[in-house]
Amino acid sequence: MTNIIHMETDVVQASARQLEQTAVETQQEIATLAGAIRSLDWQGGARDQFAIDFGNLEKRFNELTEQGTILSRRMRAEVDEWVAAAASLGTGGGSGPASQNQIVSDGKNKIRNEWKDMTFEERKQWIEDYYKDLCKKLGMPETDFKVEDLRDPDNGDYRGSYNNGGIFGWFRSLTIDSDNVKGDDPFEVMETIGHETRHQYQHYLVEHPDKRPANISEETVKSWKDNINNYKRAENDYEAYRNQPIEADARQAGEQAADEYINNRAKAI
Amino acid sequence: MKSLTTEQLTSYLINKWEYPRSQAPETALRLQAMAPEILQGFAEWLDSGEFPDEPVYTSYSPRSLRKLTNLKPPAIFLMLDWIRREPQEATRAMREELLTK
Repeated sequence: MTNIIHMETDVVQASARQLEQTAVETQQEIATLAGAIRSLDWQGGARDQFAIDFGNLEKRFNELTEQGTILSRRMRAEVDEWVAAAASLGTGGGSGPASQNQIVSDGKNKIRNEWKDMTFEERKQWIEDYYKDLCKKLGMPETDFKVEDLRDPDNGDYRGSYNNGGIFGWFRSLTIDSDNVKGDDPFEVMETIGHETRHQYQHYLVEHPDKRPANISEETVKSWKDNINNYKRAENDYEAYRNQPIEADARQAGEQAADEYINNRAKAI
Repeated sequence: MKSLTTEQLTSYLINKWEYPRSQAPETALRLQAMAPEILQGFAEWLDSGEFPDEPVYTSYSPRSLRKLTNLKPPAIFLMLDWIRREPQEATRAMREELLTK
């Protein structure tokens, strides 16, 4: 029995990814097989019993693959802890030279630690600065930025909202849920701010087409305008909601903005 | 379900579940295009008002999705059909925004 503990974080991380991938592929294989079996040209009592037995087997397979997915997430969380511990000890983690992943991980740890030490008021100021910085980068005027307790739906988490206001933009505002600001995940809050700020930007370009940068096409802005006028709500059809132009764009922009911030912080370490 | 035309289903979505008039026809078509076993579950729900335990995809059934999300009933079945077609993308999307449990 040794007191030395060691983990090749890159290798364990890769195994976790492989486990998740295998679980997902297995689910897909089972779904395909189930479809084929259900459409078999076979009628009779034996077929009915077979269909029931296969349904039970499919259910068990899916439960097992779900367990595999959960296990892979545990592995990833463990790796994150090891990397964080290594960073706090200044060992750099892993076995080789510091990789980009390591640099990003260090940046995230730094932000996470700062967030942990902030009071609620300090967090509010920090995220407002983050919002103002995004507006500046986008060349867009700031709007009324609020941190309030947004009422969550029965089964869900209402993280933030952008309200374009009424006529002349009166009462235009961007609101972030205070529950999440009180929570321990700064990255989720950053993504939410990036996401809602992007909605503000979409409205801004629809209303000010002359401000459109070269990397956003006229067609894109038109698709945003059409989508704003025919917005699909999540509770009506979640897939349609996720895939509509303004939501897909805001999701990508929110993640990208958070990644850029983390990378910049990492480089500054 | 076979007795419901697209137009009837569209009216049902508008009048019973307050789907926007501009979107209901597309939603009706999407419901009719679901996998037969999910469409069967939808028909059962229409008849009885009970969410069935079958079919199951990636451990989700109509009944479990009803418990875990605040989607409208027709959207529960559309969600399950998305999970069937793209299990990884759909379940990831659910975890990001729909589920807190």
